[in-house]
Amino acid sequence: MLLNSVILILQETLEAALMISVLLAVNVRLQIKPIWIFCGVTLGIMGACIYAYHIEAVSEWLDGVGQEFINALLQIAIALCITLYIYWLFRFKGQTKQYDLDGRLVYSNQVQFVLLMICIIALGLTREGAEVLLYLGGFFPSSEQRFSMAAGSGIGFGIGLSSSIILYYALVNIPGPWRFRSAVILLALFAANMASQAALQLTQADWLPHTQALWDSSSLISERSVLGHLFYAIFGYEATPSAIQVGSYVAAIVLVGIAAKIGNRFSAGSKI
Amino acid sequence: MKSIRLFLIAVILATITLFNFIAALQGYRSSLLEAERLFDTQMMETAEFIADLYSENLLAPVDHAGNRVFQVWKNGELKAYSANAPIMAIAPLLPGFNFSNFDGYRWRTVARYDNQKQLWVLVAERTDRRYSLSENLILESFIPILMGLPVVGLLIWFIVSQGLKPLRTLADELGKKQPDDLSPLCFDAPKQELEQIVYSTNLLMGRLESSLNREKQFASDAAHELRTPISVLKVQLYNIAQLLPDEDSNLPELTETVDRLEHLVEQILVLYRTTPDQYSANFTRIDMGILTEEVLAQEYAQFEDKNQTLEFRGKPYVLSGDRFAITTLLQNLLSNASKYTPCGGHINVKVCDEQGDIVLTVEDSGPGIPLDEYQSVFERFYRSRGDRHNSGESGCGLGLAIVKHIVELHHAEITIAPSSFESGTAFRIRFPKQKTSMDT
Amino acid sequence: MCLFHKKDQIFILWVAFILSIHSGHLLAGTPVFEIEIKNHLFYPAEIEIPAGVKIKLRVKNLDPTPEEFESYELNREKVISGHSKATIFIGPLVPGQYPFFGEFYPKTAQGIVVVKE
Repeated sequence: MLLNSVILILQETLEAALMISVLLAVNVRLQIKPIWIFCGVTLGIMGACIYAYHIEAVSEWLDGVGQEFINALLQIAIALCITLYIYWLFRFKGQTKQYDLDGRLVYSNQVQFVLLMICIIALGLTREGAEVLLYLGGFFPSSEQRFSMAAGSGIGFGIGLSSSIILYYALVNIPGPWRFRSAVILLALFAANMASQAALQLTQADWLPHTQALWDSSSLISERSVLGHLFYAIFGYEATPSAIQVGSYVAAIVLVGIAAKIGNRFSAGSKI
Repeated sequence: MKSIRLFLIAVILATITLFNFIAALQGYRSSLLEAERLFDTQMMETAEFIADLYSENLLAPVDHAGNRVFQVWKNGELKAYSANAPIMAIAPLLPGFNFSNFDGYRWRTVARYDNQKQLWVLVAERTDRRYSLSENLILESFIPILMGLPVVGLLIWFIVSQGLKPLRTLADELGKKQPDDLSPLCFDAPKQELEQIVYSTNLLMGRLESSLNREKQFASDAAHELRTPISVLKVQLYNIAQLLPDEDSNLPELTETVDRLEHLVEQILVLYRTTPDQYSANFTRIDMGILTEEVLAQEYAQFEDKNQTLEFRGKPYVLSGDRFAITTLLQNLLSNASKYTPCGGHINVKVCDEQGDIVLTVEDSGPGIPLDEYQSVFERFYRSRGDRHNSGESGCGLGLAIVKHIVELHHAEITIAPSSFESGTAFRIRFPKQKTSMDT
Repeated sequence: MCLFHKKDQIFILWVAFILSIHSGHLLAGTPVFEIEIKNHLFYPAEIEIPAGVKIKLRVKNLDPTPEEFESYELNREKVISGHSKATIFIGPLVPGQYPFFGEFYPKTAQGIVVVKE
């Protein structure tokens, strides 16, 4: 039971926690107050509660594949938000610094960053959080396994939180231009991960055709191992990915790359 | 990364948690596997035991309701079984371990063929029971890891805080320093990492102090050395004036310039003489009211020249101070007021008692000082509104710097505020009460 | 603003594409297999399906607690709340064994999909 709780909680929290730590690290650069992250987290938890509460009704939608549809929708929305976020990041990369009356550094274009960040976190937590809530809710009445479940959840949550703290400080302490680059690369991987998961959901709902697995690396890194979960959370590792998943993964990275290019060009052109 | 301490605590704690938990998980996994093997061995032994016990006359179901079931099969016939077992074979008749679902539970099964008696013994155990039994055992070893974490967190907090203490002490030491305090840091046994900082800071302080001293010394020496030539110059100017005819109009201007030069040199000398750390003050009991009146009488000529109204209110108030210094202070304040107040203006001088402190106020109806210049006017050679002074008055910009020195010398405080006239400035000097024994 | 439109278009195209595939598949009859979850166990725990055919798996959760049907080999994951049904499409697959489990109660909820020629 314990191991099971660990894996389930880890699977769901790691992704969100790593995403939040990357956004926090970018926020340091953009001078955005961390309070907005909590805004996103609160909204996400609320969303998760609503989703978990209505999961039964949602499942009935669209001939029994409503869940897949909603999940895919959330994931696509997250991928698009990240793409837009990266676009704005590049758009204002070369922006000259502005100061307010008190001499503090301000970016006049913080609004879209804050909004997109809240969207990414809230949408991500809605999907991941609903599963955790259902899991914990299902166990709450059985007192027999409460301790092992609580311990397992605690350990899973602890591993997720610790990894994200280490990632945050690693990102903040990277010297020079690589700090920005690594954050962007991680965000792009998240977007791609979301796109590939969305493709999987749509395959499961039979909205996308089934394609054979391109490779099988389960003997190398099992999806059940801690490393497998970590890789899954960071870049969407799958031991047996289907062609359509790999395709959407690559497509999302290309899309992010294009967004970055466009942002960069606008940024170079509009420097005043 | 705003705080080194937060960074250290967060990262150390996160690293420990991560590796602790992963290690615990690995331990859990291998313990669980070991427990499985243990249960399997037990089940196999039970199967052997049942085979040994079995005899042909035992046909009635054995009354047993635990979480273990057994069946004995011979030639496809159920020969013996525990009462809680179903009638169907609970596992395929293949030697070894397996899983099967029956009775609403998932069971771990073992099948053993006894060659001697030619029969199959099947034993099954509920998996959920097995897991909960072994898990309870393993969880005991988890409690210290989970409970220890807050303790580890507190310890790390304490250790990091302790480790950063010298840095904080150094920061405090630097923060406490007065701007003009250039004495070396008294920092006992600095840690290896801080040695260089303390050493370099002290070196810098020393160099700064000696260079500041040199500057003071130079200015005061230079001023002193300039006095004699200026006196000679003045005498010679007087002599030339006697010789030259009156029409030569350049001479009065020259005399005026030399007078200003003399004034400047005198002011510089007074400035450095009154520097609090150099002035050897001679504190006596002075009656502030009377002294102010005396100085007003001396300086009255300049007010009369500009047709300014001078008002004085004051009573005798005794304080301990340096007579020469206070006189200089009054002279500077009064001549400032007169200089920067237009002809026909008003000047108020007041000496009063406020909660035991003696307060001297000099107010004028001049143009006043802009708010943002309040701090700067006390700087040496600073003149309000640059050199384009609409008063057209000459001055060297040292008067208020001298006033400040004298105020500091008497541990008094000076404030600037708009005057009670329509425009103008009020200087207020508050001498603290009962500072009778004052030595610098 | 221009970028927004472009993205919207892409998204709409994508949805249209998905819908077209969806309707195409509806026409072909898909064999249905049923699995029940009772007391955190799958009944049957083993299902046999033909190779190279897409099937529709109907999972009925008779327990009051939610369960998540999950399989790393099948790449499937779906939450089934208490007392409800879920539909999961599987395949077409190559012959082999594809274990699945209930992620919320993996110790007991274990099953396997056997794909045979």
